[in-house]
Amino acid sequence: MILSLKKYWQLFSKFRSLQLMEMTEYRGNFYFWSIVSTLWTGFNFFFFALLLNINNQLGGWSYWQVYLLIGVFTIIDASFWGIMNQNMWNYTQDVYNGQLSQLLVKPVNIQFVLMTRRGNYTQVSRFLIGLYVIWLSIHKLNLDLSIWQVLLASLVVFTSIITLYSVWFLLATTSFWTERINNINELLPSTSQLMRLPSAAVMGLSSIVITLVLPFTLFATVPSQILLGEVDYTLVTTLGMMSLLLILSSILFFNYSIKKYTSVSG
Amino acid sequence: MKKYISIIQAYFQLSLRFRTESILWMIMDLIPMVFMLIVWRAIFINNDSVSGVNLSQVINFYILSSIISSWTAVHFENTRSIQIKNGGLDTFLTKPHHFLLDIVLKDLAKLLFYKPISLLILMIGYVAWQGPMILNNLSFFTSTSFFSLIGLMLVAYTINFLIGYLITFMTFWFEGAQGLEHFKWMSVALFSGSIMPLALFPKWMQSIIWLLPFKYLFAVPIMVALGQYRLEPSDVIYLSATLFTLLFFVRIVWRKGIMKYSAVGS
Repeated sequence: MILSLKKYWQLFSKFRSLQLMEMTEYRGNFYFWSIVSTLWTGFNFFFFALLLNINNQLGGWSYWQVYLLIGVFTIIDASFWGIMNQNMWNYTQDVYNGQLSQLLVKPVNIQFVLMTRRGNYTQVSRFLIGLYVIWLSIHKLNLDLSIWQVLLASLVVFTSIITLYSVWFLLATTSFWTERINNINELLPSTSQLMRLPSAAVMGLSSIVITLVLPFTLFATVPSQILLGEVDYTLVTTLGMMSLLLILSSILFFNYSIKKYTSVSG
Repeated sequence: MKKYISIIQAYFQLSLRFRTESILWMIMDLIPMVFMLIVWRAIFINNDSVSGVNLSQVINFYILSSIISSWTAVHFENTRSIQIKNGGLDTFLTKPHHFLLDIVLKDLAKLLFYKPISLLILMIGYVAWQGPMILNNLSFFTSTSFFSLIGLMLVAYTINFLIGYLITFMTFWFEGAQGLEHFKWMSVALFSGSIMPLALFPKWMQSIIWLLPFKYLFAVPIMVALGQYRLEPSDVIYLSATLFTLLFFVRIVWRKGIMKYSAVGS
């Protein structure tokens, strides 16, 4: 077990060092995309500043409470794009092009390789901006945080990332069963923008539909509420159980789908 | 003429082949509108109107914005930049079929498949929203405003196309040129009046938007459609100057880029 963990840790480190080498080789590309992602983050904050300029609150959340939520969303979104985007894209392309067989013969867990072989360091700036905005919001709201709140909020952010990863992986795995759909990997990032809204802002039929499909609005709202001192343990437990259920489903669905796979032989 | 029709037919067949992908794009194109309607519903929950604008007007705005976007937006910058980077331009330089014309023809093929279906979905949504009130607005389709709107949408499409060309041509000089389309999206989102009704922007931003040509992409067509603005001779002069300037730069940049271009041949 320990040897196995050591093997996976070495593989993970190797992937990261290769990514770092690639990043330093194409420095211009890295700086450019870091600026682009930072500008999009700035645009996001500016957009909500415009909205809150019109109406001082959104779904009962005040200006800095909304900014706290956007800060949490930025961290989740940066992880989403930094860790998952390229890997999911490569995964579906490997399935469509029959290149997955190269990984199937390796003596490691394929899902681990599929999800860790690539990464995107250009999202680091967004992650740091998100942290800064959270710190600034806490300061402006005069919140007195306990270690427990910070740990619990971090845990919920982690489970939200796991949930999003699992759903995305399930969607990407449908590539084994369908015709070539190059934009299957755009579906979740598009819909995940709903995370920017406090759950109280989503009302009526939209609330029912969004909750039934995937409670996007809870992923950033619940950690923000924890930091604001409003802990709902039912929601925290629900999110935790949902992430466990979805990750198990993603593993089972992948193992089932791989039996359908046929590769291209040379 | 026959060869151009054959090319359009070929691209049209390609669109039909990947119809699931096209349908997914249509669904994803609706998500930003749904997001904004959820946000505005939350804002208007305790307000009948904001800065003289009510919820009904906001909904009209976003439906019109989606209709205009579905017909005037272009998305070829990324794929065409990659095509130039990978030496795919060679085949066009040796054939009696211009690269720039190929981009136009492929987009015209979309006009035959993707855009009418997208428009139909939006129109069904609009009719469902307006209900019996739509009968009071039927005269709009024979009015000067309707023809002005069609004209403005054609001009907006041309402006988007010319800007798309310039972004694509940057590939001759820059490695990450396809990322420049992000700057285009941000600029258009901020300065075209597409993200919210113009009256809801701060005064200083309204002044900036009114100065720049991006207003003709969304703000002016929407205001014309809603009967809030009539085109002046100064608008025609401004638009003509914008189009000529863009055309001038497209020609210059293309010529300079082609002289710089080199590819590996077998």
